[in-house]
Amino acid sequence: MHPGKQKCKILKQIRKQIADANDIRYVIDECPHKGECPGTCPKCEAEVRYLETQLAERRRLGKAVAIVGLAAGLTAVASGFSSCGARPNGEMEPMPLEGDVACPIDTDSVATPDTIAVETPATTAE
Amino acid sequence: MITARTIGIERLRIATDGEGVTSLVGFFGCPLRCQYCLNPHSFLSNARTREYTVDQLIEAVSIDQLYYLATGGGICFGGGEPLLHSAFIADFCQRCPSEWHISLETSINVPTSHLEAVAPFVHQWIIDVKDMDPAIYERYTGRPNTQVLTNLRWLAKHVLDGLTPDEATNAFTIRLPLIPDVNTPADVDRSEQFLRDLGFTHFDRFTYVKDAGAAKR
Repeated sequence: MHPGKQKCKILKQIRKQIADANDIRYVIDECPHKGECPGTCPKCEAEVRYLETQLAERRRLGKAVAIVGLAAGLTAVASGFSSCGARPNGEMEPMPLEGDVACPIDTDSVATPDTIAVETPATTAE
Repeated sequence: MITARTIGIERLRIATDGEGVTSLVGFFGCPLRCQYCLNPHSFLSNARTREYTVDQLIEAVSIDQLYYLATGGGICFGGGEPLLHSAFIADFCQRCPSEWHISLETSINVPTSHLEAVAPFVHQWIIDVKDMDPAIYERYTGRPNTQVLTNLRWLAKHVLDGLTPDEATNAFTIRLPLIPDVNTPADVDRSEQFLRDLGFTHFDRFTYVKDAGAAKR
């Protein structure tokens, strides 16, 4: 599996674990994208923001929130860039700057909570 | 207000800089000129860089806070040589959420005062010593390793001493590269033994990959 796709899959699982631990409705749907994947995309980013909103709402209601250490023990996934302490090969593009790194966020297409797949009786029955 | 120039930030690194999901912050500036430098733009005068205040950097990397918290990850400072920005890092660590795991990828070839500034805040030191043989080190990096030796002894005395074996393993990773045309497996063995005698126990031994098209500096 392409490292980006592998990263995306792991990050999705982390989001699912956070959602499950906090009774937040969230289902993982298969990504249809076939090309290069940096590990995240506007849809994935929107899912993170959705979880943050839901967690903030839980806090506002005085409910307990569980996040810390939920997904410890990850296995390494290859990264595109390295610090100088890593393994050089003599050929490396400059590290991109924050914001245009792995996942440019297209604010025009960021999903709203309405567009995020949430667990409903219809989807869980599939 | 403290600012620092960066060559880039890479988000969403998974278990490559220690525990969990991390963001690698690459700082501009390096005292070394390694023959097979991975990031020459970390010291070139025409490098594309971006300057951050501490607050701006915290805001930028907070985008992945949920992942840091869930996985025990956080921020890895690299570069270039991050310790050249020790005041910035110390300030950052005092202002970022306390749950963030802070790691540092460094050559420690800097004045000890830089280590003193950040030591209270760093959870994991990833130290690239190249080779402990002074002649090999200088041939490869263009700089003597006298300060590296001083700093390894300082870390052994002020940070490593007092840690349990497990804590020591988690707190220090010493990278020992086998560098084509520069050192030999026997040299790496000697470096490791020297470092074990200082009290370090966790080593990452690997071989630099030399691209066909890559040229030494």
